[in-house]
Amino acid sequence: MRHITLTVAGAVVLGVTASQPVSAGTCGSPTGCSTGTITTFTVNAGDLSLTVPDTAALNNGAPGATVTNPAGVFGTVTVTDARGANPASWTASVSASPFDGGADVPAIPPSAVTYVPGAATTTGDGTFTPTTQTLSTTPQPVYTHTGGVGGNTASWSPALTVAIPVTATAGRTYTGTVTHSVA
Amino acid sequence: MMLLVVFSMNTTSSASAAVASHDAHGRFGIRLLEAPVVRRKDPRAYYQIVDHIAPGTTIHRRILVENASTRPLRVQLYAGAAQVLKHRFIPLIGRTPNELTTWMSLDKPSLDLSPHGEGTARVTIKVPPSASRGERYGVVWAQAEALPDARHNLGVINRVGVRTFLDVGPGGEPASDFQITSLTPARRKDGSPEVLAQVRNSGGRVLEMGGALTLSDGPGKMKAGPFAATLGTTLVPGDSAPVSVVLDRRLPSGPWKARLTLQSGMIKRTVSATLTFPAVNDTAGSPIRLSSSRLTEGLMVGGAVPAVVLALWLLRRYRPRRRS
Repeated sequence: MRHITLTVAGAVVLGVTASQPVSAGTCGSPTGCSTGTITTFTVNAGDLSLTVPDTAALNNGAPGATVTNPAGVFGTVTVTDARGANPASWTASVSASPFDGGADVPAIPPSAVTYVPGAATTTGDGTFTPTTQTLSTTPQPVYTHTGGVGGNTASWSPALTVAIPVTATAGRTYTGTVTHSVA
Repeated sequence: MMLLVVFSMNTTSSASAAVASHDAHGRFGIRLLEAPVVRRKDPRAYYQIVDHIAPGTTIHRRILVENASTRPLRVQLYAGAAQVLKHRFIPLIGRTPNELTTWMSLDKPSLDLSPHGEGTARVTIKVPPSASRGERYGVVWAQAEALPDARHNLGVINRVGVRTFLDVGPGGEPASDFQITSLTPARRKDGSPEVLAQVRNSGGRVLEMGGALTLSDGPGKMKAGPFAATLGTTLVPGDSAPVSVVLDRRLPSGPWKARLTLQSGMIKRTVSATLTFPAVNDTAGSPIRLSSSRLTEGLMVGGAVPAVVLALWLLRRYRPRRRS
């Protein structure tokens, strides 16, 4: 019970503070920032960059089979953050298109594909967090860099597992696209 | 019965060969070339489009796209929608529009870059006079594509972008602010001491947090740190998120004087507290009453409602810990 009493007492003090936000506007001009010509200055930050993509050939499989494409199926994905940012956070998200086997057969949905980022080789401080995702047409985070200040890099070699639906048609080549979005 | 779904006609390339060939492909990148003078003190404005403008205003930003590879590269340029979900900035698929992206345009749809070449483009954001108040999110993308062909059934599209946070409204910008509402010493399952802080966005704009913790006045006058705070969170106004700082397992339990500094853009908050880490793994101590100059100012005034909300939240948060 002592714990709860202490917690509530602490919360009252904190809550009082929270109710009185200090005005700390980020408009730095004494004459206001509303309209008119907005003057800019040149900044000297580096790039946020990503590996140039290349195509890949996925392994074959029978309907109902789960096919593994080992790490490196489409090479190493490298994010190089030379922005000198604080915080130097970025998120790498992955989405996929449906895999198309031709006009007359149903496509294999992106949810049949699992993206396993695996361990990354990293430089710089902060926290690098990989997340395995069942893909969707909506981008989902597979690798994030949080905290940390300044330049950093991360390289990972994703593996793709494809659970081929039993409804897939034999003898067809299904084609699709995986998209990495880094910002 | 071996019904084969043909995913490819070429399955001979080994993983290591693929890695080697991809590394040789190099990389491509994007950067912002200019920022508004009124944001000279805002570090976020140096690498993101962060602005507050009135309806009917038009702004421009130049970007640079670089091809750091040995091959010519076509890079497509466009603005795409984004959202903040679960404390994260998440882009939407492809060229999905939102209100902001319909106001954004690039003077070039693509750049053809020579090996190790670069090119610039200009982003224009034209906010219509009828635009309603509020902050919108988007990304200026540079995109390179490797589309599927006869021998490769998997295409890969890589895009890298500049986040855009545009707040629209008349007059000055809504104030940005946040509070560090509690500091709790804890010990993780693996025995590492941890400091848990709760951060609340009490301002009118999105925050992107970073920061560090230092320890001093420990046993034998020891000092430790700085330790990076694990957050990388994107907080929308009114949102609250935990911040964890994991420390070295070899550190004594304390007592320590802990000093946590968190920053988003030009807003910086520092809190300090004396804390002792619990001896038992996977437990948390009592939340620590914070000592900061702002806290003392706030003691005299304020309302009861946020206090009750916060008390309920804290009770809910720490109940499971006690059970464990």
